[in-house]
Amino acid sequence: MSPAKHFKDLRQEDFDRLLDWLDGDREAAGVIYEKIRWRLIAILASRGCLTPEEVADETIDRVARRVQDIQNTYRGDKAIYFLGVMNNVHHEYLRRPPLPHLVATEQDVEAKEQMHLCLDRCLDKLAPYSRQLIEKYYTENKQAKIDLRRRIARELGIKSTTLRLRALRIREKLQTCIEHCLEVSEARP
Amino acid sequence: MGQVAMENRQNHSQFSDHTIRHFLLGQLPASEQALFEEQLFINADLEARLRLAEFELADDYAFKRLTESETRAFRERYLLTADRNQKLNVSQTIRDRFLSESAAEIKPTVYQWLIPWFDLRRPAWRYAFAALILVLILGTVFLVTKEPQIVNTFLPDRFKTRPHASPTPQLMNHATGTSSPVHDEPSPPAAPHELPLTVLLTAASSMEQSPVITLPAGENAVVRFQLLMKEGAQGVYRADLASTSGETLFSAGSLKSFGGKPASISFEVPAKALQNGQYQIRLTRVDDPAKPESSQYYFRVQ
Repeated sequence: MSPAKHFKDLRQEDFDRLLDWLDGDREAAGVIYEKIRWRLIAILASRGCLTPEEVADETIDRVARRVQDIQNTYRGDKAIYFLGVMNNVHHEYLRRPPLPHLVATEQDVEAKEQMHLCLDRCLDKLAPYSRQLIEKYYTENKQAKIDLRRRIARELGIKSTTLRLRALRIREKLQTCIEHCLEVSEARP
Repeated sequence: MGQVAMENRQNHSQFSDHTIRHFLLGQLPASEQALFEEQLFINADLEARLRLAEFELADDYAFKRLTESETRAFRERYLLTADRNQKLNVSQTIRDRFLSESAAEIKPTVYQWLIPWFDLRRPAWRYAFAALILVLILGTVFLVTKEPQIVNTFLPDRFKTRPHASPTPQLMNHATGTSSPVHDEPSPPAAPHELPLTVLLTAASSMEQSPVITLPAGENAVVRFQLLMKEGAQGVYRADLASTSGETLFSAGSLKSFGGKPASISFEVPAKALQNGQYQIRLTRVDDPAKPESSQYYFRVQ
């Protein structure tokens, strides 16, 4: 998701100033920005905030507006500054009347089919070793989970914890690949 | 103060997977929550672990591996962003894909059903074999101790146990020479033992002076007669037991005197051959016709 999508009321010059403050390189600044936003959302969700994305964006908005005033005087980890501002925004959020909790709806059949197609494509893109590992990792039932993972780890000559990390990293790649695949398919007429 | 805070941060830089999951589900205690949030902003490793834990959590939910409380927390406290919902969608797609594959693979043939049952590496088989060995050992011990005659039929002669004197129950079951109190076990009454009644007879005695004996009871009871002879008597003799009417009731030959002062000859007569009455024993030397010695012995039975 492009950083600019999160800013409705933010002026472009404030946003550019924010990125410059985070890093002189615009690409690196974009990565830092995404990481900070992800952390803010994770924390807000963990605190029970029902609209973590909105509160996180509001936090970033406020920081962007203040950068002009603090960029020459602020010392320390810039990410921590976001945490301080987020605490204030979250307190304000808690004083607001609660919003109804939006429950995620089930995917429709077409979306599911598209997701399956994308999964197949992304599995095909994996290296043979990774594909074999992820197929074994997920081909299990609830009861056999521990035994199966131990067996796979033994077959591959790695520890169970290493197997788990490798499988989750492949899972992360699949997620990125599928999201990209879905975006591409949506863009098609 | 600052150093202490730094150490505190370092000590808490390694959060467990359990703590990370609790953070994601909003179940972390308030005291740990603040520290975790701060670490998340300064610890890139924790952030990486948290990202992977999100995938694992979504997978566990899709594969129905969460507890009831975790499932509730997942729906209420975790599924709050589009990003997380999308992760769950992918997890569910993976579940549909791989579980259906595994279900198809698992459609078992009879052979595939039977294979696991005969897999000797299964713990059940191990326990069964252990139990079997235990039963065999116990059975063998039982046979050897309780039914030795059965064991003897299988054993070659050279391995068969020879009879040996066994200790009395008191010796066997109670250690000797200890300071423990002596256990006085009442000894069982002696088994009836048919010792022969020994009757000592001298040649000089007449019927009137002859000894009176009482016959021992029992089917196999015997009376041993020890006939005293003159000093230095040697040779082989024959003894004839006869009633007063002269009827010979019992004879014993090839009797040898054994030395002593005086010498004597012993022989046994079945008690059932005797009845109440008067008897005489005639002892005759049979090995030397040139010295035909003969003596008379008398006794009475009541």
